[in-house]
Amino acid sequence: MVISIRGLAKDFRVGVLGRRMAAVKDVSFDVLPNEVFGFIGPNGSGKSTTIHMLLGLVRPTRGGGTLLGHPLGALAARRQIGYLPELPNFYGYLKARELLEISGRLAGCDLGALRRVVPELLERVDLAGRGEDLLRTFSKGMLQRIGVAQALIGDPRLVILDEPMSGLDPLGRHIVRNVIIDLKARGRTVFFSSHIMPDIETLCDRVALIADGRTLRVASVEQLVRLGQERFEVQVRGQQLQPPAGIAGASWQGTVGDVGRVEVEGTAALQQVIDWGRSVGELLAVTPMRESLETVVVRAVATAADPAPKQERTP
Amino acid sequence: MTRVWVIAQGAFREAVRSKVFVNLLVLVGLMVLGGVIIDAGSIGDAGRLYHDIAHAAISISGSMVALFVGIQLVAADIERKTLHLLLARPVTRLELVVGKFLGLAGVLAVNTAIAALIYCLVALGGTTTALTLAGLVSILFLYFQFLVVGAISTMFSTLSGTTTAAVYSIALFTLGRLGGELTRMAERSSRDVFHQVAALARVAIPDLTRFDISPHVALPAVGTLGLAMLYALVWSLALLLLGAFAFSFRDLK
Repeated sequence: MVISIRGLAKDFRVGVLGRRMAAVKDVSFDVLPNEVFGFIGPNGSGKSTTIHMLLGLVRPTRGGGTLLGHPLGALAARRQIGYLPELPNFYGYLKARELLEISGRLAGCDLGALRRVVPELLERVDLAGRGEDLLRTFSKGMLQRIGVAQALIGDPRLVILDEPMSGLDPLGRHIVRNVIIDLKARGRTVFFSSHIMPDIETLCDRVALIADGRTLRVASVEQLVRLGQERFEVQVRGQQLQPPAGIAGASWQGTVGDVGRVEVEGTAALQQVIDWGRSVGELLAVTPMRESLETVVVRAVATAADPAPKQERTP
Repeated sequence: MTRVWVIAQGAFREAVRSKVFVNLLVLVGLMVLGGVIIDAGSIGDAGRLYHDIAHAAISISGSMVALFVGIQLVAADIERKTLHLLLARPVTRLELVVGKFLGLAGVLAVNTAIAALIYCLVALGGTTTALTLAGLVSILFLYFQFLVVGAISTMFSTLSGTTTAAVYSIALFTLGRLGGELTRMAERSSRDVFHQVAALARVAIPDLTRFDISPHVALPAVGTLGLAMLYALVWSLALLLLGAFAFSFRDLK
């Protein structure tokens, strides 16, 4: 396992009286080698705090795990990790080149190698020719891209990106997407959090969905979408069709000409609607409705009642 | 060691590129020049006022750099979240604290050296202001005082936010400046409780008056000078280790 955490929890003390506030309650998941693993959940669900615990920036209150075979936050693990924080803030007095050189030297790279690698990295994030510019002159999107570049320095085995697409224009998102695809192609593991579901759907092998500090699901994108896919459209042809009555989960969408449309949720309701369609006319089609990951996530978060994580089969 | 050096370079670069650093050096220059003018207008003991004002200028400027750069070293980095990038790398918190402090020590060395250069040039160019060895050694000792003050502010910077760090650092600095006097007063008292407080203060508060050497008198013995240097190093090390130890338990949200 590249990352393996079990029952990770963090309580912060807040206010003058030191009241306990649970930022993370129970997060568990495994990340396999060479995976692109998405970490998704609403704002305030505990994603960044979990990432901080992985890196040793925050000490867990309960639970634990391993990172590249070492305890969370261990120096030996951090030697093999690249990290982009959420809304990265850099020393404005540094030039882009200096930031990358400092990051590289802290990662253990020698200066000779860095002089060769830094221009390549700048080019990779479309900042070629900006190496001598002070970071305080950079736009938000440029800072995000230089942040991605510094996470790649030293060719880490695991790259952790906290909201890497935040603040990026379409070109910037395209660049970061390509970086992630390239990392996977080179056998690296990528762990990233994001609110942008199309990116998660496009890039991730598996995702962990968390809400209110707890893991709701750990599954592949296909599994997640399939889990939420028990929705169907039924088309029936008939004269003066009326909505099906008394079928829970069936939603009448109206008629076009002599064809009526019913949206159905759940296989039990589907069978009832099929029977109804045959009884009132001709059953034309039963089509599974593909839901977007966003819809699945929104519904899963809204209906999260069982705090126990559901770990699906890994690929 | 490379990581400590890289962090020290970063802290040094940040401080010398800040406006505060330049402004404080301008202040030293103005005060030294002001010392010449005031000295010229004084009656008797030519040059004495110049040396006193110049040393006060160097002391104020260095102490302000040590305090205000020191409290920013870690606390401001936590507030700006720039520290997350450093500590996600294979850097221990002790390495970070020591590196930041070494950067500050470098800044203080440059600040003190430039101030001393202004002091020397003006003294050499003047007609009544002779440059003395005691004057130069006293500046060296001011530097050791700055190191202890820098270690105080660095330690508080690891424990709290910039405002709180500033309050505690200034408080300990003030007690340190008064410390020797307060201890002596307590020792003269007939009540045991004052003696106990004095003994505690001697252990808990660095006596910054140990580094006060008058530019007007003969140099102290080499042993006294060596002890003062050792005192500065031991206090700086103890404060940094305490800061790094406490910092190792701190969560970076």
